[in-house]
Amino acid sequence: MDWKTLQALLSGVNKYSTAFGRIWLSVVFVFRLLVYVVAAERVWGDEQKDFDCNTKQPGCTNVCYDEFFPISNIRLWALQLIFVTCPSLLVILHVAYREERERRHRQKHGDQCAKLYDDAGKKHGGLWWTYLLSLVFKLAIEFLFLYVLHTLWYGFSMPRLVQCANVAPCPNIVDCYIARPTEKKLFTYFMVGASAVCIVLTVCEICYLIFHRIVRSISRKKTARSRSPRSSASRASTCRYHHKLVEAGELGLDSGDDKLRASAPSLTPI
Amino acid sequence: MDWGTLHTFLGGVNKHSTSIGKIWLTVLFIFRVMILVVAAQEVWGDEQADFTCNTLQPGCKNVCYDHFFPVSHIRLWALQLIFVSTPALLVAMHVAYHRHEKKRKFIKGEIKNEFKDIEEIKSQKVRIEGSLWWTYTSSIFFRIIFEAAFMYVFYFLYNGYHLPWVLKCGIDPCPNLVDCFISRPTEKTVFTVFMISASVICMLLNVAELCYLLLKVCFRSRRAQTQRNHPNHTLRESKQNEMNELISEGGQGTVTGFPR
Repeated sequence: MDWKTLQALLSGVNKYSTAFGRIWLSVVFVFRLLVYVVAAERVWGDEQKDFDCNTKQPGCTNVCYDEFFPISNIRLWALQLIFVTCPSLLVILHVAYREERERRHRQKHGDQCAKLYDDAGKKHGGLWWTYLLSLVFKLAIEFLFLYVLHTLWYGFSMPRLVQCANVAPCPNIVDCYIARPTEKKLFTYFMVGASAVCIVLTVCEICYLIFHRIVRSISRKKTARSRSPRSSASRASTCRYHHKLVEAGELGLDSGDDKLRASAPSLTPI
Repeated sequence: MDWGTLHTFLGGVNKHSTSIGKIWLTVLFIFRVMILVVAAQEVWGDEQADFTCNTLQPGCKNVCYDHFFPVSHIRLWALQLIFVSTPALLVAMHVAYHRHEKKRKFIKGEIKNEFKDIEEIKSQKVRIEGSLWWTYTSSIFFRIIFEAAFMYVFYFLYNGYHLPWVLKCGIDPCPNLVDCFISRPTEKTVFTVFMISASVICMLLNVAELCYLLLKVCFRSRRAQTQRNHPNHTLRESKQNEMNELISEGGQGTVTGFPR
């Protein structure tokens, strides 16, 4: 299990995303994941070994390192990348649920009845809400991790020298020197910048989704008299009613679509 | 996620590139990415561990290393390769959008006579014309800018492309002017010069591709202008071609002459 597995899982989300969502995914894969794997991980590779304290007191270096780096930047970014990409899996789960429901409906009622969903991947109804919720979660997670990063490391800077005071077993105020602070600072800024770009894309996507929905509902109200697509629940109940009529002998088995249309005047033809 | 995935992303763009673009991609992946991964990373692997300073003062080595190598060569090259490859993704997105529009029209039935099915739309090579020409040209322009920017950053950060054997460092907490020795300076210089040369070659290929695209557009517009100015001439030519085709189809093996 590694980053490639996560990438394979997320590539499936691309089909159901908006244009903003696809750009977001590209930014995450290229500017965050790829940079993390090929460059950033190595910068933090020797961080504890080369954390040098001006003392010969055994244990002081370990304790000081732990005091200043309760969790390494690199591990925090790995967690951030996993948490930020997971809400997209909600969308995949919802689409899979719809497809399963469609399959079971066909099995039960046969091919005569109308499909439950014209397109299981189209962001209408429940899937729209799932997609919006996943975007809101992504946004919340990004902000949370940026806040944690800012709080734990006194802003996003990485000083050359840190002073370790009143920490047993260090005997006095000890000077400790971080390895490669400038390079670490540069990569921290880069990853924070990429995070900010992803936040902007997510906000744009949320606005776009809401705007698109408003426009769609206004145009639907304008053409309110014409047929509108029915919900899956009403199509399922139409099918069940049709089958009951067939069982009760009121309808012949070959009556098919005509009778179906009679019982459900606004049925969308397949 | 690694360089292989980037190669897969960009391999898709290759189909729609010009010949020079295809050569550029090959040079990028063989002479830069592969050299970075299989050779350069090993050379720089022990860079801080074997950076030795003539002092026992704790912290002096860290501080001196940070002063002389604010960003490691390897990381700068990795970032350069990522930034230089990224404009090609713009082209990939544009092609994907173009295909999506064609699929939509095909499903609506507007262009049914042009394609047999959706698979044919997916496999068709998209020509670099119209708005795609602008996207493609901008992507080449950005590539050139990124290459030049990174080469300048390298030159600025390391005062040229040569790594010395010894560096003198007097930054706090070093007690005096301390000698610090880089590990494998000659090997690092060789690889630095190699990567810079590969960068220059890629930049020249991009410039050549840009000139080729501009010339193509100039010739195309000139040809269109000629056709507009002499429509009779071209009409006569095309009719002649049609007649020749009919004759060659109808009389195989017989001696044919041109119609009067």
